[in-house]
Amino acid sequence: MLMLGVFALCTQMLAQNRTITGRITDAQNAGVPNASVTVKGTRVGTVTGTDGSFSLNVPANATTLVVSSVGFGNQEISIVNRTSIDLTLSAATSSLDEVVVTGYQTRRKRDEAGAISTVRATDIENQPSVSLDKALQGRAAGVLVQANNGIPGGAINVRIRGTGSFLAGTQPLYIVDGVRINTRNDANFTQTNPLSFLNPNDIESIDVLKDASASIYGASAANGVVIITTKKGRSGKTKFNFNTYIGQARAIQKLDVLNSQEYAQLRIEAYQNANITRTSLQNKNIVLGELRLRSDYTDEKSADSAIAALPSTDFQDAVFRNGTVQNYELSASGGTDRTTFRVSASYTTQEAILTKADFNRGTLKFDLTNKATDRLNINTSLNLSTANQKVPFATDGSFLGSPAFASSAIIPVNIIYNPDGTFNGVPPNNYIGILNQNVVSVNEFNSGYNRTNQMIGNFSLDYKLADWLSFKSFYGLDYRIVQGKRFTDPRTPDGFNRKGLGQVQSNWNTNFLTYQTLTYNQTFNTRHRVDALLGAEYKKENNEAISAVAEGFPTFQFTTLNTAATPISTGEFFTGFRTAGFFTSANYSFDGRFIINGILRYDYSSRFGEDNRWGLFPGVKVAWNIDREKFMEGQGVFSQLRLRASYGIAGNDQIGNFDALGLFGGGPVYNGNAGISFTQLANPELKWEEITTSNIGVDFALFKNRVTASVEVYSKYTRNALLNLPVQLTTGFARITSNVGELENKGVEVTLGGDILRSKNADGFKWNTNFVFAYNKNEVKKLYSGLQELPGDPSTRVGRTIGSIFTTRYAGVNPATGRPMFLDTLGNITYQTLAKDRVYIGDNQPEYTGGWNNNFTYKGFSLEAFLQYEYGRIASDGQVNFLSENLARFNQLQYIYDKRFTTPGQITSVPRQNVNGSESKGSGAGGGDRLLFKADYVRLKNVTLAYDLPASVYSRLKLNSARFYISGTNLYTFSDTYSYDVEFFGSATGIIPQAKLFTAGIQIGF
Amino acid sequence: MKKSILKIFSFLLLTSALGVGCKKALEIDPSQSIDASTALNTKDGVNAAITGIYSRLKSARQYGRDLIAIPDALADNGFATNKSGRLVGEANNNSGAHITGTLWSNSYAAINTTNLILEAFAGVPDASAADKTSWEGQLLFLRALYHFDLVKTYAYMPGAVITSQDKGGVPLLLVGTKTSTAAVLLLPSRTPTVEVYNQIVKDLETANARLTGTGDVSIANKPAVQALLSRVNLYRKNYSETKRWADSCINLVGSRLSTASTYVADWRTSIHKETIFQIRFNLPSENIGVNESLQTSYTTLVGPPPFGVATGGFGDLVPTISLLNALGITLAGGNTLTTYAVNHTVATRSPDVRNLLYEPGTTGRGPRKVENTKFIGNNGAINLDNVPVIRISEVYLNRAEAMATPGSPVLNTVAALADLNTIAINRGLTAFVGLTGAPLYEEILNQRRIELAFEGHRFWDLKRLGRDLIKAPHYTDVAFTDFRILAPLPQGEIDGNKNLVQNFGY
Repeated sequence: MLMLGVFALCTQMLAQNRTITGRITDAQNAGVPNASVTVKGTRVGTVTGTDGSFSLNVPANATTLVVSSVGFGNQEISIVNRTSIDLTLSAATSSLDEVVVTGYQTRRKRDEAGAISTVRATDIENQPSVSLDKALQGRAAGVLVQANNGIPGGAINVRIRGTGSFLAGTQPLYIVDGVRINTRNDANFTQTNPLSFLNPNDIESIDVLKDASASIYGASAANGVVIITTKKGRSGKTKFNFNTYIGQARAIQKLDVLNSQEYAQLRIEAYQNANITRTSLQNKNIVLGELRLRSDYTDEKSADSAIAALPSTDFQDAVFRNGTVQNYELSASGGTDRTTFRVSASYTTQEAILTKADFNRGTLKFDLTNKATDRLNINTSLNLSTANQKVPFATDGSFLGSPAFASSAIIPVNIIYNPDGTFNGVPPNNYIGILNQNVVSVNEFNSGYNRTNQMIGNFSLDYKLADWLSFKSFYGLDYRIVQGKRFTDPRTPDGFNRKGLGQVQSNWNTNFLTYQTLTYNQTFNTRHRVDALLGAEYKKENNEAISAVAEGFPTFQFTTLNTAATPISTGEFFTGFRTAGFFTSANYSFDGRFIINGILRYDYSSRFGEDNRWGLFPGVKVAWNIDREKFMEGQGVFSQLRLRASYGIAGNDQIGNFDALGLFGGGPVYNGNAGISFTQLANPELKWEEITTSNIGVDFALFKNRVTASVEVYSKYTRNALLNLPVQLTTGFARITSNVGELENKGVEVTLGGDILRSKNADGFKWNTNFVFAYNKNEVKKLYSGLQELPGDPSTRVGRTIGSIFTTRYAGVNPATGRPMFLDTLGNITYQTLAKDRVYIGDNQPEYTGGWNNNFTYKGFSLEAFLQYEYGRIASDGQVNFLSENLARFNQLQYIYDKRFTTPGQITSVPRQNVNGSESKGSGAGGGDRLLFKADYVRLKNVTLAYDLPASVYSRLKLNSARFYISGTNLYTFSDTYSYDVEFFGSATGIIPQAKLFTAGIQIGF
Repeated sequence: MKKSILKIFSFLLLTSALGVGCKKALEIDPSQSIDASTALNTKDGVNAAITGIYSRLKSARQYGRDLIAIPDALADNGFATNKSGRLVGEANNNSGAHITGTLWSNSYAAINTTNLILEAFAGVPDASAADKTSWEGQLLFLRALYHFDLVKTYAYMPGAVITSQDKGGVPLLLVGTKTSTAAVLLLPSRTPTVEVYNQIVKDLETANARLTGTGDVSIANKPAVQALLSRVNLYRKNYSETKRWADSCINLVGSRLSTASTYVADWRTSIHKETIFQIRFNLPSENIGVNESLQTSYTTLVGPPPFGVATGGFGDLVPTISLLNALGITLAGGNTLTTYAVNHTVATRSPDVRNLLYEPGTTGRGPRKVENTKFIGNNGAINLDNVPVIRISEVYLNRAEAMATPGSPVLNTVAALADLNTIAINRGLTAFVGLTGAPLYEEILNQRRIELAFEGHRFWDLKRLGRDLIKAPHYTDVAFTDFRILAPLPQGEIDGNKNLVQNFGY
């Protein structure tokens, strides 16, 4: 019916009586394809061909053409007395004239009423990050990007406008050139970033749909949609672009830990404080004994000199290193008026500051567009990538053999090498202390890799049924194979008894997608502009994996499983899902003043329960371009002013593929037979979580666009949020998942830009700035059965943020005894805390986030300085906590040593040492909020200084452009933490921290 | 022209839309799992599901460790060495250190599947009548065994009840839960203990009627049903039924008792000759491993004799002084707390061949202790042993006790003494002569303690008789009236179900 409605709008063309031909080019004189060329105030228009050329019949009375294209401004050109037009588009000057991608469509920002953040290629170019999500950090308001750790190509946490779910996924939907990308991490042995398949320098623009705009993607869009458009070819002489940067990754900081004498002193005190009846000499002998030294000294002096003679090893120095960063790219772009292409190849390596986690990647991207006939366009795009990562001992956690965890905590009396150069403390011997592995040797001996080979491609046919109606048939494929191996060497403690352990995995994912759309675009009576979309989409994803584990290798040189004596296990795995949807969108603009856009999607997912497989997702957006009103004429303040509002519903389908089914699963074995067990109760009512987004926005520009601003106020309300409802174990099950919870995210986003200094002279000094601010408040609204708090989980309670921290308040150290003190419910000092003493301390979600970018240009020089910030998150760093204990099991932080309680009367925050960990009848010294900290920071994320050779020079060198640049990343951080790095997500125990990067590069066009 | 193109493309759009609507393109089935609604429709499906129920018995929280090791820790047989820190709380009878709540969840999950199969198996088209009879017999045996393990853990046993603290039996579940809706609605209460025992006996008697032959000892079989009937009846103090089923079982299996000369060797075989029902641990993937296997729980020794000096497991639970005394083992320096605390050396052994299974371990994890080696990697790999649940010697002792218990309707001290001597002689002891009355009864219990030590009997035997736990000199004694005799129900079950009452003291 809808489709018929669209057709009913079709009317016969008016007579035309003049032809204008021409070519639209960019600043480099390359043709701009797919630029829209319309007669101002009419529906008459066309789009340019692959070489940027066009031919248009215009009414006799037409006087002006309007030309627009993605990434360029809207430009008008007079056609009075002209039949041929050549127009060079300059990059968009007014943000409202830019074109944004809205999902299956593009639209001029002025005609779009949704809350969409856009990041352009120039903003993220040449950043030494291997994935595009990191490039979004601090640049798009309301998009929170947090790194799990600093593994190059490691996992990233991206949240758009807060956390909208308890149990289901919270990451946005990513679409690259129309293909929905699979973002699951399938690597068993290290972390991978599913978005690192794409060289960020191949990206043209990133559009983030944050409000009702996302409803066009229905059941998968509740966490927002990130649409990535890659660079395409432009017609003209083939142009090459060579780009390279090399640089170095360095540790941001190391942890300041103790030397052996300080360590021994702490340990002696810990024994002393645990048992006052022992003499000082006895305690020294105990500690010397622990350090495997003579422990029968009879006088203090000899014991002291034995302690003074202890060697100290800095294990952090031994395992941290400076890593090399390299990137090489070559692209070629060109074509004829019918066919354009772009091919780009890149090779990137990033060595990690803590091994083994080096990343290298090769990519090859190929784009081809052919104008088969005047009506038919064929587009194809192919991205091939292979990423190789070395496998660390562990990506996080307190593993004895993990250099990232143990290097700061090993007791420093241990030595790395014996005098003869061999490793000390290797099996059957071990190190002194709980951390008894020589992590340098473990790291050297163990090996492993993870390889991700991925192909993402698409093919589409565009057929212009009429100037105002086109049909698109799109097919996409995202194919990925992840292969990994980990070998635990027989010379390491973990591999010694089993004579080596080999593990391999292979996981392949095939994701096929197709959609068909009809797009309608017409203008009536010069004032009524209508565009409409009708389409259907289908997606199929299959994921399969095999794995094997074996032990017992003949010697350490053998690492392949077929040489192992004992196969431990083999595994095979299959999963998948199907989605389908019908969607439509209609956009009506009256006189450029009022805009209304309606969206409707009817979506299916095989993940949902039988009773709820299909869902309807509507959205509506309106905008009022006040600056177009008569009463705004003649005023000089506002060069732009518009109000927007939207309301829409989207779904979160990020649940397990078979969560709704009643299942008998394989796995049990008995008496030589394979069995099955009842693993999951049928839940036919299971469905998507539903997020309703309301958004009000205002965009304005002042003083001839000198200042531009966008302000968004939103509420994102999640209904039908999944929660685990406990059921009686007598049912054979512990819980069922049900759509019962509710939560809300509310916030404000501000994007403020401006030309602080303009210059009339192209070479003059210019300062351009862009400030991004986002505030988000998350609140749990409803749990199940009227509960105010999830059973056993005080971090989730009604009226608070998800991830609230409830614990007791630390009250410092008793100046008389050195015991840690806490506050009880009445605010009185207590030593032994009770569950009821816990109070709300804060939460682990940042409240304010954003960034501030500054661009300074003068002649050929440009300087970009980008600051990024987060405020309002409470964190606990597991690594620091291990190093802040009060019993000296491990090496400790210097500040613990310096500030520990030693003398009665001393006022300090660090309790006295005690080998028992906690004082008798006292709670642990690390309890309460003592070790929590505000993870607020402002970071000088990136500074880039670039110099473009003047045309007079590069043309003499037969070049089209030449640019030299140096860049630094994570240069300086203002924060208050003892951590390796404040920018982490999760517990931080044993993670490879982020690095500081310095790079220098050259970019040459020829 | 334009109109015809429009038609073509609207047709294309519609067909692609229809393609999307095609059912097959939209549906996908899991492959590691099968749909619960059809899983039990085939013979293979039912067989696999029954295998799944047996498999749950292997859990370390069931017969993999807990049901074998914890009863000896809770009672007077086991001393916790603290070499891995495991079983220390249980040996100390700390509040809450008991058979864990996983027994509850795992057993009820097994019972639920059992009930679902019992409801579905009659309709399986490709199964023969014999298949169905065998299934029903096995399922009823399994349901009875799981209910029995639950009720003996969480409830007092009939005839040995502290009435003021008695909160009843355990929920008796005879109907399966298939859907989320049914799961939410299931809020059972505790069935009276006697009714739970009655149902266990009823299930076992039906199983006895269904099962034929002696069969594989690793799955339900007729002698196993009868032996379990004799044990359950002993526990509920129905002595005539104890004797009746013991008679029947002994008749059915014939002479399977080890003799004094084969006793040690029989404990070094994969399947102990005396086994009537065992939990089989066969494949490397079924190995519970170095932390919690029975071998690691009981001994530091690596494998069967000759014992090396290498250290394998932890040896967390070793014989107490009173058990050493009962076994006839004397440590160098005498069986005192002082000599017990340091490295053990065996000075003398009595002729009881059973004490030959107790060997000094290694010093690799701390002071050397005399350790039980019943589980020593008899299946060819360290930590891999089949676990006997019922051995024929127990059935003799069940019968002897039934005939020696004062007031028993089948009281027959002569026959009881004969059964006792059958065990004694086959264990290298000289026959007891002229025992009667209390001394006979106590000797039967003493032999039962020695015979079944570290096989998960001692705590239940003391509990069913209402006896105090004599933990001295290692630990403090625990009176039978103490609340710690019963395990706590999982607290989540109580929180979510008003009908369910927690045990006294928790």
